[in-house]
Amino acid sequence: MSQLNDISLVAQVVVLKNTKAFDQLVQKYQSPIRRFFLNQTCGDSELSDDLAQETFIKAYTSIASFKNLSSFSTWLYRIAYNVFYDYIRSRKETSDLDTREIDAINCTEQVNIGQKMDIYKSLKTLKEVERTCITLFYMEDVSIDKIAGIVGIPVGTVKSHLSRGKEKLSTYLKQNGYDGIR
Amino acid sequence: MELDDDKLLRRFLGEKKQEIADNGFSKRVIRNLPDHKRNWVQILNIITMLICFALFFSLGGLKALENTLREVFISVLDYGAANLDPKALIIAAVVLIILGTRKVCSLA
Repeated sequence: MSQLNDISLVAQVVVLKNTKAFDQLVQKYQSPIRRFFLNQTCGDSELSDDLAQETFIKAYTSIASFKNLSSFSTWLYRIAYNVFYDYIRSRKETSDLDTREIDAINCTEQVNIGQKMDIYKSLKTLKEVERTCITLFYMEDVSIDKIAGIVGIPVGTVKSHLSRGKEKLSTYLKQNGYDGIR
Repeated sequence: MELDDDKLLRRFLGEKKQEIADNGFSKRVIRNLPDHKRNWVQILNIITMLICFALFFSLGGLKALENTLREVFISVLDYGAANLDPKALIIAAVVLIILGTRKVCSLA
């Protein structure tokens, strides 16, 4: 039903250039997309909002290319991942640093955000692609097949990233006294 | 062990999952859409055009246009009647026939 509604809104945007229909799509997906960027940037809300805005504008300008082969949310996540990947590449061009340093830069740590600090601190222990796979799989309940489509890598590679990420993150959580009972 | 880690992560990340309030985000996106700016330019164009039409009719533009067209038509008729060249007419007719034939042949 929700998917049908999305298709109807997309059709209105493509055929009638109806910005109100697109506004409804933005309102529906702004939370998951901004959360996706918040997790990728380890809590930099300003940067997340800028990247999320870029994602929606790109989605609007290329909405005619949405062929309904995947759900609208998967298509949107794919754009979001590309936007984030382009952002990382642009950062790499300006500084010749290794991946770990890049990850540390992207994780612009926010002070004084209480409980949220734990999640962003823990996500910092992961590589950027592991972070994407872990958050999409465990937080957004996206299937492995869909994650492979979003990130543009084979299913087997997604599974490896998930396995490595899971190991790192659970070790970090256990070391910091999180047992899941609290 | 693997299952425990799975549960642990699902619980931890599930707990941390939060709905983000819009707080004007979608408005900001819509304001920055390329078509949204273009729409404003189109609206401005239409308003300007309507003002021009209103001024044209209210200041007697229609009457002035009618008079000008009438004068032009009359002077063309006067000039044509006085300087009609049958040779030029024949040449024009022949050229038109040749062009028409070519077009028909290309379509066939």
